Amino acid sequence: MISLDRASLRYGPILGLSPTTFELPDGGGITGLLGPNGAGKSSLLQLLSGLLPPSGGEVRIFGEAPFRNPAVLARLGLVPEGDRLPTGLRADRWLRMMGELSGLSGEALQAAVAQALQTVGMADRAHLTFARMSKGMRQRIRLAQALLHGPELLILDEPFNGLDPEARLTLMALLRDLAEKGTRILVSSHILGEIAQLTDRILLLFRGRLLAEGTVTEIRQLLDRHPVELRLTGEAQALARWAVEQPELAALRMEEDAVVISVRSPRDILPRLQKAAAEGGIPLRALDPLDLNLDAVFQYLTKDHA
Amino acid sequence: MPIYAPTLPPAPDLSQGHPPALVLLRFDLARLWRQKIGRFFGFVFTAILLIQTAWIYAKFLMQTNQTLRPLEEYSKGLFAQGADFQASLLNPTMYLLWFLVALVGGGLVARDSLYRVRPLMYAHPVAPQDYLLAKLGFASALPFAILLPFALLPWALSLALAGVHGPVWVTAPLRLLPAMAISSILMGSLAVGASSLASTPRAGIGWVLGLVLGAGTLTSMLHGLTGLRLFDGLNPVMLAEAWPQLLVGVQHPLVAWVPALLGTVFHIGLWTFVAASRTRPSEAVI
Amino acid sequence: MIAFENLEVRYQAAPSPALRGLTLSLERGIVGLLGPNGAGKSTLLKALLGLLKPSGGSGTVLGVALGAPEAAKLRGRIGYMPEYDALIEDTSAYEQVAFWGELSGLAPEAARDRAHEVLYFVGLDESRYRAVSGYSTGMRQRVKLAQALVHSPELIFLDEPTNGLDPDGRRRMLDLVLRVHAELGTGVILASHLLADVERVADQLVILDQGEIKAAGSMAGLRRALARRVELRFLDPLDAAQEAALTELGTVLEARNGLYDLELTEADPGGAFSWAQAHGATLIQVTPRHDRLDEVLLRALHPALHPALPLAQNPAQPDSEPSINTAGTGR
Repeated sequence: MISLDRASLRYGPILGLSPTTFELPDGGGITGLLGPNGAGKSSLLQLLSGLLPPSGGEVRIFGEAPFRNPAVLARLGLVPEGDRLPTGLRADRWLRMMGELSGLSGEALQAAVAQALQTVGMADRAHLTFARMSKGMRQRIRLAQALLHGPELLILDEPFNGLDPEARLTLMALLRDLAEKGTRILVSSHILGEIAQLTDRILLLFRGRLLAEGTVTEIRQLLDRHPVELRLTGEAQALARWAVEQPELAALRMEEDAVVISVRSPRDILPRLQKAAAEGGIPLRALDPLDLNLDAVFQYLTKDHA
Repeated sequence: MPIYAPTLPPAPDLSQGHPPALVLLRFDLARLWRQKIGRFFGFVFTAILLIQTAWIYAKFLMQTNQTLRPLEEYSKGLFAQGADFQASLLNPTMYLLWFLVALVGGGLVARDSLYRVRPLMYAHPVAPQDYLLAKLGFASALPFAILLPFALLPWALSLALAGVHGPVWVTAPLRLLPAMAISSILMGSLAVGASSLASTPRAGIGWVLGLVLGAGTLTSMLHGLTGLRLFDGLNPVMLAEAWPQLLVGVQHPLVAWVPALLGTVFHIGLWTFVAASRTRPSEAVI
Repeated sequence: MIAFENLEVRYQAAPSPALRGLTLSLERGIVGLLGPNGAGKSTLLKALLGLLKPSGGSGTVLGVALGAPEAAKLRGRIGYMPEYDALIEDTSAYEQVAFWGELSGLAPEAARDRAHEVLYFVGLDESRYRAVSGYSTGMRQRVKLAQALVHSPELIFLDEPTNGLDPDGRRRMLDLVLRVHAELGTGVILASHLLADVERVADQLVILDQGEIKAAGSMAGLRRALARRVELRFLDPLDAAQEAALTELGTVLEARNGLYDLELTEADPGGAFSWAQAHGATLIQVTPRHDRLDEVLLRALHPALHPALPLAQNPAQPDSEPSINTAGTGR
């Protein structure tokens, strides 16, 4: 669906995105685009949504270059960053205006607006002006705008910025729902927790480069330079006795009713641990991988590549 | 030997500090001094002051030096040395002073509004009165401090050179200092009030200039239409110029005593009230 | 640290109180303050600072009764880091931190020493002498924190301290918050829209909405452990047969991104290991399930709508190989 072949973006002498190659397959699902401020997230999204042509290489969406290509643009929806809307305007009128820009009119336009408002759960409040809406409501209207023409690919740039927790959760539920119905969604954010809640599949950008791509678990396993930390909860003494006999053990730390072990190759030790626990050889009640989260993965990756 | 972790030492004594109004005033002063405009005006006023003192010295020379006697007769015809001369000691600076007050005072409150610093001040042990006092104090002390040498240096010079016979009266400071104080407070309160209405420092400068010029135009129009000189009492520029004249006893002052008193009280009261109500803590949307 | 008994606060002009029926007792610690915009967070802050007098009930902050004449002095003992920039742009970090110290009652010399110490504490080095207009978001946030700490307050109120920070900056700010409490013994109230931040540092929680407290208490108490609930994750994705066989272990309530939320038929979570062993899967995570913070929040805000947890199946992710770019120029 999306493929980049050594596509890069430069603004004059300033680097937006280094030559990047990757491919996202067809089908629904959510992909998170992650990276600190200035990592190249917006550059990548600008390339994908056809706002700018790549400075080098190729960008293809649905097999075609998106820049100034209505055939591609008609199939993708963009929710740009920010919260700038004409404050005095009614949301439904604004949506109709935007729909006309996408070439809809008459009955079809009415139906599309009603459908989009229904999807984002704003059908009963669309007559309000933007000034009277909360930030979360405005964000949902902006999403409705991107849904008007029924896109197959939805691109959202920092959609959660500044929303309160509840609005954030509502928007997440909405995106999950859309993804379930077959829309492919690309969401950028600099807040790892948000993406972790939404999806496991990420693209990680850092300093204008694509650093990693895949699910968190998969990426973590490729980071073999950093031993995996596992907390084994149970009778600490007995667990520690078992752990010190394992050849993969790199470090061990005792807690009140747990031990935290660092192991080099979890693929080797985990089956043995599981076998021992299943056969009643060790008193294991819980197993918790401490650095199998996006935060840890991000930290390792950026430290290794800084 | 102990190892000291890099952390903060225990709590310092919070009772030794200076009053908040003084701290605020000092901070504004330090900021003005850092800015180019502070140095520019410092230079301009010093230059005017030097010219004025040089003029008085020249006058003295003309009186004592016989060869210059005819010139002195001529200048006596040109410049009367009575009450008008005393009042005019301050005059050359007045317009420039309004400009300075607008440039500096216009940003005083507006800058805090723009950066939203005021709510944070009220989250400290700063009362709204402290804030107002500091801003009014700074905006009034500035013109006063600049006028001070204009009153005192010519007087000191004249006293040193010619004693009681000099061109400047021996009692001039007693009359000029109160006049300067009133004019300065008028300027200061107007600047702070106008600044509190603005949302950016630049807009604040515009507000001060607009208010001063607007009030001046309006009052002279009213004066012209109704023929009542009473309306001049509401013109801040005329008021600031009239006070030295009234106190040294000029024969035909710009504004008479009663309208001057009423107008000054009106302006100071109005603008202090505006500033106070625009800087209340409840306005502090934190 | 804070105790309210039926506290009510109203603005003079407003018909209804901005805060009502606040009954609350907080120990000195790190308190997460959650709630939508306009829930009354800033009113609460103004009441704490003594800027608004309670119109009903009673409250004590740091041992001082609100509304008492000495409540105005509370402001010297509380530090406040606003959400907005609130920085004097044309002034250096050092000068403004010293200025705020002086406003809190430090003598000029003491304030200057203290400003340097606090700026080192928050990790702002040589740049402290430059005007703050050239600072990055992370540096600005640190100046704001330094400003709140300069007079060694007993309680600090942080409003969205991680706003606009990237992951690294966010981690450093939260570490600082933890250090402020651990090393200086300062009580912290942290208002944030980011639940992950609150979860990371807070030990107590207050949820505020429409001027009322919807939930309050210790983090551990609010995030109950759910009986017989367990979260499982496997080293490799389960195939369809394995997924179907999970019912032997219990009911799958939610499956999202490879994480299975189960209600076990047996009380012992250790049974999961036997199950995995029998079905040829390898477990990497078996953890008892606690309430997540978003669940606590939603339940508190909408008790009628969320009596139970939301059940949702996540769309299956299309399979593709993960990759890590090691060279700078793609694969």
